[in-house]
Amino acid sequence: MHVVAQKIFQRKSEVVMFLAAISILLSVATVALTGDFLFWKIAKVFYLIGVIFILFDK
Amino acid sequence: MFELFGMEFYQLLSFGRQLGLSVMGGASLWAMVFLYIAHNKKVEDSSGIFLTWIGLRMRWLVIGGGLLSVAMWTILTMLIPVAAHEGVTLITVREGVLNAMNLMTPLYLAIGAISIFALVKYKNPYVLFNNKKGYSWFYMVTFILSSIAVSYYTDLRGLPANEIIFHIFHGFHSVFTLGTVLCLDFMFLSTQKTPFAQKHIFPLFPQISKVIWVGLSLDLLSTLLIYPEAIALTPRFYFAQIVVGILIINGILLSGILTRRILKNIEEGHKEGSLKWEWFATVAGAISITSWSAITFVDQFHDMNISLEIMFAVYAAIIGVLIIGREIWSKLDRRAEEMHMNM
Repeated sequence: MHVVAQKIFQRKSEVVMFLAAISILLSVATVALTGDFLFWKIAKVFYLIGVIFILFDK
Repeated sequence: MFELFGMEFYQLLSFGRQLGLSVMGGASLWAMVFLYIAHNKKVEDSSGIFLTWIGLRMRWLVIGGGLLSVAMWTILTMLIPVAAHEGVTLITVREGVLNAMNLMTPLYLAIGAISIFALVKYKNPYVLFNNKKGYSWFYMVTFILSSIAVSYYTDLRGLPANEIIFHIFHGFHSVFTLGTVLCLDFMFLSTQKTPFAQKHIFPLFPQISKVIWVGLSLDLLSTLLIYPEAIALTPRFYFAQIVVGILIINGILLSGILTRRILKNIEEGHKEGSLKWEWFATVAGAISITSWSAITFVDQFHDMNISLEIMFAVYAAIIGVLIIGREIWSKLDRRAEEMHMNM
């Protein structure tokens, strides 16, 4: 599992963006069940960090 | 007036206008960049020829997008006064769109005129750019016009600053996202049968992807300006959020492992294995286009009342149709192959 993940994600930006996507998908569940937007906000933070990493990717 | 599942006709026209302007803006931006890079290449560097070729080929996207947006704008401005005052909750939205369209009249007339000019000059595309200085006046003008038009989709006069910034980012991001994704796909399809052209054009893809990520961030972060007032927990909201999640995962794979593999295959010469990666890229490209179009589409229809299941069924069906369509395109489009043969 770890090896496969390493093959797919070779940059920090890809890992952070993946976390952003997972947070968005989680937020759909939490918003629907509890009305809480915490994961939705976390996703935006991950996304912002991911974009900054991407801009510096070679 | 036409209304289906809570979707009104003027919203459908507004989607067509947004789509046309996004394609026009995205194609103008990338054609301008390619022609500039090509101009700065040394004479013996053949990549300049391919970049000029793809840059000039993109004028068809600019013309198509421009004419589509002008057609939608014409129907919108003719139709909306008749349709006004139908529903209390939509009056502001509809009037906002109408006011914006009326204010932008000179701009749409200019888009129509310049698109027709490029269409008339289709046999001599070299009049569209300055060969000596390496910039294209045509793409520069179309980029500025489409960027303003796509950003000013509703009347911004008198709105609070946070709402003005939100609307501008919300409109403009389509140039960087939907428009650029369609351009990427156009380049991918245009060079599918020409490994030599791919070798020069594909290395630019990771840089182009950066602009798409920035475009998505304009939209994602600007929603914080209108949170929580503008959020309504409808199937439309959940659909858009899930599609954004899919888009990000798809984007990581497409601009990451898939681009890396394809570039490696191109460098090593096309082998059997490269077809598998190109097919994955085709699927990822179809997901990307459908997702961006779907988000832009549902965004226009505030009162859409379609269930989440149906939205995803349509979404999956469109991805399937696009994959089949791309296979057919790659079999029919021989121009790129002809150019390669003539080299």
